[in-house]
Amino acid sequence: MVGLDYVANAVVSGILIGSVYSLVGMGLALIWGIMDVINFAQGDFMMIGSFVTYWAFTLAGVDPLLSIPLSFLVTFALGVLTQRVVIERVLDAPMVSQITATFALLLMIRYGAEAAFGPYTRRISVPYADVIFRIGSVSLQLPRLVAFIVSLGVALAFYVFLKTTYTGVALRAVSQNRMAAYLMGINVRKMYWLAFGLGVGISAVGGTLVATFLPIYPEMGGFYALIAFIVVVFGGFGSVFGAYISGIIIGVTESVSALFISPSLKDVVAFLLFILIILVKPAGLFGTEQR
Amino acid sequence: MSLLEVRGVDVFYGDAQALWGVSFTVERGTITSVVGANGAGKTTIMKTISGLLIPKSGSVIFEGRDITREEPHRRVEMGIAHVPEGRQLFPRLTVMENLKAAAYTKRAREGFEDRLEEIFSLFPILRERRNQLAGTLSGGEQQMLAIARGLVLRPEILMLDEPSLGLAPKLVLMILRLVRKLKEEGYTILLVEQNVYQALKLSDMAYVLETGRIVKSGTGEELLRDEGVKRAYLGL
Ligand SMILES: Nc1ncnc2c1ncn2[C@@H]1O[C@H](COP(=O)(O)OP(=O)(O)OP(=O)(O)O)[C@@H](O)[C@H]1O
Ligand SMILES: [Mg+2]
Repeated sequence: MVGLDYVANAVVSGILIGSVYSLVGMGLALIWGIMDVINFAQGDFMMIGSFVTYWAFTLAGVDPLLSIPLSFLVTFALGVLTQRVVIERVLDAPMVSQITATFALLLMIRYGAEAAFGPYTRRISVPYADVIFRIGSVSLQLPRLVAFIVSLGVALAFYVFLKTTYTGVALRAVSQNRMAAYLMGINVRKMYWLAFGLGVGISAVGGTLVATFLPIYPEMGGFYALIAFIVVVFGGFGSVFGAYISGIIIGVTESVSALFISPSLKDVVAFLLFILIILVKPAGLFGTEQR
Repeated sequence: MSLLEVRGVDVFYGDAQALWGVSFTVERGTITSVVGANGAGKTTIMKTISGLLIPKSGSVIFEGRDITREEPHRRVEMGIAHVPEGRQLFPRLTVMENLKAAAYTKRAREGFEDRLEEIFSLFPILRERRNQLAGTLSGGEQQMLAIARGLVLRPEILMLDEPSLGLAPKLVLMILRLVRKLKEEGYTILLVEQNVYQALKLSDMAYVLETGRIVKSGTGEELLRDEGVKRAYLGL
């Protein structure tokens, strides 16, 4: 029999890691929702974020939290470049061309990083890695707690940006009716640069956050991309808010099932949950049928 | 100098030619109509002016500047507003957000709040519905929002493509009255309206388009008296 304390701990740690999944998923959802492009390299841009943070820490002693803006800006710039050089050319192409293009990006980034840094697993040992808070029987590792708070902050900031700013509203407008957006004087091409830059930048913040408490390695994007896809499908295609909640649900599902079944099957369980949702509510938990 | 001058444009969809050497002008402060049967090319003319389509030859001159190859968003910044056929709202944005999306350009953002007040006094129902999703509005309300969005753009020329399409007769009259009122307020309007009699009555100038060619032009009154126009478009 598993004690209630264990369950409580598992739920809390699931929420904390899930909030990072949310960020990766939100980035994917943004790009998907606005451009109708599936970015298979999403997890690899996240990996770039992890490595920016790793090198900033290792070479210059920059605290991972302070490297968040750097990680965001580097991937944002790479994202805009990718949009201009690659994605723009396949925007109106058949879906198979788009898939090929972003899959090629995945290979280039992932194996480029492997060639440059070697396939090894690396860790950052921040000085506060072992600081633990206890609330009743639940214990919280400081880096994970910080990751949760930062991801919540980023998600909220992003939500407010989309809801209230002229640019945020214009981005959403572009996703709903491209022609009308042109007629409103919106520079659609620039909005797409912004969408791709922001989308990968947000995921890279997730990459920075996991680097403070989990190992990083060039191929890590594979695992997180899978999670991101589950998050997006689960949350309703293109729904950024839905992605946030779904990330947390998936994190909790994983960590609770690790407790009851077997840690090695936790991703299988997340995936089963995914299939179940597809069967029951194909538009996702928060999705609308039409786009 | 005319506000807008279209000079001999040939426009294609792929290999199919839709406009053949179309030329006409729009004078400041007037209502100009383009009249024609389904598929004559009326919408194509508007798209060529707003930059959604680029002519193969010929040119579009706005305030004396050649804008033939200018990008659509830059034309909006210059004051060209195109309220498209079928409304083309952002269905999952609220009424307010639709208006805000139209205030994206520097031009439109200047004095947006004041213009919003004017727009809400023209369309009180939009104020009431400002937090409702555009996709849930009635047809008439959607058309009002489409026009309102055009007004947010602070246009030098307002192009209205079939603004009363699909509306109940009472609403059709309301929209036509609004067009006249906008002219009185100093707007320049290029109008395509399937209600040809009403459109010609409103218009200072009108052009008749047949299969992509302008075949007749004159003041609204002249065309109302024209036997060919009477037969083809007024069912007389
Ligand atoms: N996207 C398109 N691709 C190919 N041909 C098109 C396209 N849009 C319009 N056409 C063709 O171009 C011609 C002119 O069309 P247009 O939409 O400008 O006509 P219209 O006068 O606005 O008609 P309506 O009264 O039906 O709105 C038609 O023959 C139409 O079939
Ligand atoms: Mg038309």
